[in-house]
Amino acid sequence: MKICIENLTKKISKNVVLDNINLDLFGGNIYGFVGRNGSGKTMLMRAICGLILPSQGCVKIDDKIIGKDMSFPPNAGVLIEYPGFISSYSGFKNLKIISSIQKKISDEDIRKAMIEVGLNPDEKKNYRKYSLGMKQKLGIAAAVMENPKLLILDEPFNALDEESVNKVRNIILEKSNEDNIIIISCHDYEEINMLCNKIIKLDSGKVVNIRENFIEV
Amino acid sequence: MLNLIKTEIKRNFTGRWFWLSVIISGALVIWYSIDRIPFCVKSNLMILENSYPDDFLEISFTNWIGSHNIYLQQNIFYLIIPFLATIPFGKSFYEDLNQGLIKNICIRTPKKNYLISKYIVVFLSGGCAVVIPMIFSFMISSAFLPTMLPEVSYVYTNIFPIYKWSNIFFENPFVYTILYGITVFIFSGFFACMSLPITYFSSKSFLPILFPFIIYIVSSMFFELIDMPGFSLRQILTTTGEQGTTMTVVLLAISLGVFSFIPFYFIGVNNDVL
Repeated sequence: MKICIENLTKKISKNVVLDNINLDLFGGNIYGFVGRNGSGKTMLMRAICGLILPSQGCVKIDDKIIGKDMSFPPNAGVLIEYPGFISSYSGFKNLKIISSIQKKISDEDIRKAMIEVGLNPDEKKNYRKYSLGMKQKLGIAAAVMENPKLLILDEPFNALDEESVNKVRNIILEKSNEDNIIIISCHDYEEINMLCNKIIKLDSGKVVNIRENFIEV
Repeated sequence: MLNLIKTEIKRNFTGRWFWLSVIISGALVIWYSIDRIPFCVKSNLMILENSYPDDFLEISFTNWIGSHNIYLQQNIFYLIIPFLATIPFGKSFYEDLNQGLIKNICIRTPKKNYLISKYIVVFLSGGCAVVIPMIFSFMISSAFLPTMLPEVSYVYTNIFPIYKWSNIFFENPFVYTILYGITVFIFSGFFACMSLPITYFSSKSFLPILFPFIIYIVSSMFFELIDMPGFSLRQILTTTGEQGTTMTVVLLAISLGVFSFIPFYFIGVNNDVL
């Protein structure tokens, strides 16, 4: 898998949130997006998934332009900003509803993903009664359950305890293989350094630095 | 898209808001039935026992919740149709947008598919929430009252020859009842869908539910005030509404469809998912 971001600019009500970004992302890598609040990390992630359309430039996934040749990247798992679910449904029911859109996985796969992140699939509790950490885990389970080739996790370690951080870290490492692209944003540099082999720094909507991080992925 | 429609249908018809709407209208139906049916049964018995040989039997076609708007329960029912239609699923788009579910959907299916499925299911849920209790009411009436041709000379049918579709009513009341049911279904569906475009501009979840009701009341008052009662939604929806023709029914249905779908779809397709 290959993602080409060409001259990507995004303006939202006259504010330039992404400013002429050029990036090539290749399978087999874990990319870390770092930068201050409002530097454009989340917006860039949204643009890669087709949730926002560029004002100029384009995002190509395997040479197909998002918003023109396709609406969204095929086979993507995404957790951006905060997990979004139906508050009156249980965790399992939420994941079942989401998975039923593409019907790629079975109930057993959903259960497996929930167990992997440390959630009980048989829990009847409604999503609205979940703690912040449980909501975050469910968001991660939704992102990884369909074995995506493109995994985008925005601040995945938010609200997680140490044990859960380890679980999520292991899941991310497990999912990285030759063909998959994983993109993570995180404020914790230590975490980024531990997980990512390419670190991209953004500031004011621009890519200001791309750094190789020599780790064994 | 079929998967998404199935999912949304399941989400709607198993949702507590759908059943809340059905329970509210069901309560009105039961209240009406308790109030009206025993009276009609008693009246029919008296006629059959020859107490009033010149009178006509009360029949099911003229004694169900949708048959008039002259009794209190029927008046309430017709007044709150936009609410009954919007309660089940009108808020769901607001929740999808504000609780972030739309992100999980739009990375798995094109946004236009999501918007079209949402529109279809909101339309169906609005129609069903209003028409199911109407069918229930007609079934109750049919269980206790004769289902026979109405008498043209009997004024308490409250449907007069100048009313739209009255010829169908007196020739084939069952077809007339079905036709009315379909009309109410379509308008209720569109009322529910009117909650969708307003969601883009609303920061409060109750506004999408309130908006179709406001349109219903304000537009009805407006057309009645400017002496064009044939375009009053209130007149169109009630069987005993004196005004309206097949043409105004069709024109109003198309207008509601266009004014709900076009802004909802085009704003949705062009808006970013933030």
